[in-house]
Amino acid sequence: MVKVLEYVFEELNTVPNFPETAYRALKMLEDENVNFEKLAQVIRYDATITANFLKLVNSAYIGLRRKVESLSQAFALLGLNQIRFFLVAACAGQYLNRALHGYGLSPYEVWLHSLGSGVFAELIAEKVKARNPDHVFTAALLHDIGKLVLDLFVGGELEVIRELVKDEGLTFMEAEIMVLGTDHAIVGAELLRRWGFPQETIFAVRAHHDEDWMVQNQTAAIVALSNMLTNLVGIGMGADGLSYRVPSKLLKVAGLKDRELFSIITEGFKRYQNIKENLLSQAR
Amino acid sequence: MALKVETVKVEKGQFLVLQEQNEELETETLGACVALAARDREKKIIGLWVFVLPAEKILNPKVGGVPQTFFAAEGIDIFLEALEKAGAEREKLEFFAAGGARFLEAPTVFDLGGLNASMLRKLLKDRGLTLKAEVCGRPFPCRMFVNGKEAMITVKISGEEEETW
Repeated sequence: MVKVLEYVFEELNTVPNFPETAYRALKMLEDENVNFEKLAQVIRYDATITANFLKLVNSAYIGLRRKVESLSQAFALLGLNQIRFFLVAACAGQYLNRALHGYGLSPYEVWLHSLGSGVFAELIAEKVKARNPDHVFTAALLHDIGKLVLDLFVGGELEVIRELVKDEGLTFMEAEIMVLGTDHAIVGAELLRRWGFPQETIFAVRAHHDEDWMVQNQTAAIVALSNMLTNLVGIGMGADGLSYRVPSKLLKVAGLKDRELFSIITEGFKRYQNIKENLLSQAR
Repeated sequence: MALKVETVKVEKGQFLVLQEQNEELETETLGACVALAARDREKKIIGLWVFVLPAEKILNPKVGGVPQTFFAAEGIDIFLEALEKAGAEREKLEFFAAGGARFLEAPTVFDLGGLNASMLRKLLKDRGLTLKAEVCGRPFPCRMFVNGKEAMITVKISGEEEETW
């Protein structure tokens, strides 16, 4: 197992850094009085992020009446939280765009799962007026980033992991740890730490499958919940599926009541479907 | 020359009824959603519906702009009527279900897969109908495929042998 862990950490070193442009832009967005002209100047030097950002904004459910063609136009129409959301989503697309054979996911499903979780997180954060919505979006969009690194290792041991889940009643993550010595949440949190993300974001990624940790604060609870709801409606559901435990306090810590859950599922799915259909129609 | 088989994806909250034999239907990964396939072998009519929630009345608050077929209780008669309109006879229809995934452990409110599968059995029973076969409640990803030419229904669950009906 020690040897496997060495390989996992070698693989971790091969993941490219989070784009400096996006990181600088997110820092600027911490200031509520951010100068949008300066923000556009920072982002537009990265053509990929700019293109992805505009594509996402134009495909979203936010009811824009005309096509947005520049960053300045987009900033004039969006709120600060929406800008943060689309910026991280535009970057996440650069990483979460390849097949994860170990987890049984196509590149398209990997991306949709990330986007779906982001959409649910954004909706819940709005609904409960989350204290740190920017940490929520970032962690929800990047929560499975550790799967990029672990994929190869999980693929080789998938049968053993599945048997542990089926026969021993372990969660998929417990089985991952037992077989590989680590799990995708630990690896994902380590990546975010190396990229210099805030502690709260790192913690939420680390906690997204841990039933004790996910109820330690609201950000972690919303991120874990958004991932669960995305899997419940089957959006980019990986080989781990629903082989997890849900703590009874989860909704309360997130700030929701039991009776609100099904409306959240419906509204979130509707928003997700809208963004998916528009992205597809743009791709055609 | 063999006809090219077209595969059409049935989105969640929607259904399709096959009348062209050179078509196949498939679902996306189902999660806790349930796929219901209905087949009239004699008339060669086969349909596939995927619903997400058991009933609209459980929404609090209500959410607008969602098709009735998103919900089991509101969608079932719409699906059955579409099958009949395509030429199927209700009493000759065979029903097959898959999906309804469940967490290993979760508070009742999160057991959407269990709720969806129970609601489907009840709705069929109320109409004097039953499921001929089902694979519901596993925690792993599951998809359903419908082949028009062979009138065959296949369920694939990640890591398990596929089932064909």
